Amino acid sequence: MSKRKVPKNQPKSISKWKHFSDIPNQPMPEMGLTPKISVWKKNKSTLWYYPAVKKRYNVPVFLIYSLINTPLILDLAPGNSLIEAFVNEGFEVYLLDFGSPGYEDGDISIDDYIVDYIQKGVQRALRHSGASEITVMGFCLGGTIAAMYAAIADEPVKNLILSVTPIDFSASQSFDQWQAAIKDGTADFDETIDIFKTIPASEVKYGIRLITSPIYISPYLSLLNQADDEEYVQHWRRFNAWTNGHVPLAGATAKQIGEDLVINNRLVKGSLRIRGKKAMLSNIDASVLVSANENDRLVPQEMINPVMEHLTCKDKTYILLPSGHASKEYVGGLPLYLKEWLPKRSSPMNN
Amino acid sequence: MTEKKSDLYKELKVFGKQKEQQLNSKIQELINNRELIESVSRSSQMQVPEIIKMQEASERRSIIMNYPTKKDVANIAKLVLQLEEKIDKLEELLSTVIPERNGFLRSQPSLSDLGVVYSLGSKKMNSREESNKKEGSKKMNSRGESNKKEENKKRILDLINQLQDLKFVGQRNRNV
Repeated sequence: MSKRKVPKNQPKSISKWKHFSDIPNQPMPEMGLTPKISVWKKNKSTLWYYPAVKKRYNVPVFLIYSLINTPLILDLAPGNSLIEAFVNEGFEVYLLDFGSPGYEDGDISIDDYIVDYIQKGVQRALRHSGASEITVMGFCLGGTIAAMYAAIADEPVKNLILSVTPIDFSASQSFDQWQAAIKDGTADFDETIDIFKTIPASEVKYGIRLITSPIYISPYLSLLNQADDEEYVQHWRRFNAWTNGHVPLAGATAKQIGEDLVINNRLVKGSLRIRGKKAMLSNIDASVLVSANENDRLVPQEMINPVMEHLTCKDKTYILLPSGHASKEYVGGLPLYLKEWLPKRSSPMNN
Repeated sequence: MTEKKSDLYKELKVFGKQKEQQLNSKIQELINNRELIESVSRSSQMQVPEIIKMQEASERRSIIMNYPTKKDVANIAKLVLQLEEKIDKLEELLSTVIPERNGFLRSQPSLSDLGVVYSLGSKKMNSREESNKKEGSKKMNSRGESNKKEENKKRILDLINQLQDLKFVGQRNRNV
């Protein structure tokens, strides 16, 4: 830990307060520093390629992040980055960044994201890497659409990793009254969404905040308590920037989430269709790793765990981690559970 | 004394977290209410016709005032997207003609839309590519037009380069 210098005659508590109040005046630390190249672009989406430091595996990793937040959390800072950990370990990494949809993108549905963006992106990544197979890793809602994609994929998906991925939408514990009203159709926001075309980023942010923590002061108290620790402050600011960096959600996607997932729970029931193709979890023949976090208030394990019953593939693993929704386990390299699971399933090269 | 003051922030943090959790649970309990969500839904639906009227009025005004509305901008964006999709399709089509371009592209990050080439190892793409290759070689042998084909390839490569130069303006990442 790098402590700031405190004058000898200044009490520690005053120093902390002084540093705390000075934080807004300091420049924002840089984020997303792992070297990358854009290999494909469609509309607002970009497929980023992160070359391996020394390629050791033949199967590249394709990352799909949530539709409501930026993927910055995957590459927060050197030494605190999942992407950096992957490339240091010898994996080629592709990240599909969906960007920030505007008014003109209001008609983009989940089907469009899966077929026109993810499927095309995976094809591009395969061609770019020259690989014969690929690992698809999805986070949160990105994991849900990754699972849907894997269920209809024509591409050779060798491994599927679902991180804090909601699958069973009937299992949501909080706001059951709201869910019931939406299911019955007595609460309906489709017309409102149609007018505005997207759900603005601020509404997404406060919606998520409402589910997780309507009053949000403890992070600031933690910052105050460690305001004299420069490293902590830098990390806090990066994490906070990501926490507040929501992106708008395309209206058609929001409506489809409501209709297909929240109301009808089609992914679990096996009745989901993506552009006419049946997207059943039992179609997935890749090796699957599912991870849930014990203290996750946004996606509790009850929403994740049922996926194991519906997957019929031979190689499936479920792991429960002792952290919250956005864990900070990317510090110091690849998380242990990934280090143990992924390399042997990624065709190691004979160097 | 200093130590005590220093602990103040720690205690404040613990106390704050505890109170935050209590208040959050209370708030969530209170708002998890069917009538509340239904009344929010009703009031938002009541606003819909008014907002539509305002948007229509804005569209009408734009004819006189000659300014573009969000709908106009969205239409242009859709046209751009259509164009992007056409270029994508063209690239994919070309990639089936010249699969051996793979190595060349990989070595040139500036031409990094390397997706123009099908993966040599890809299961499903492999079969398609092999059949293309076989078909291509048969035709070449039968016609004996290898020189002409080379010229065509060169022309196609130039076209791809031009397309990529067009598409990747302003997209390079400074971290590299």
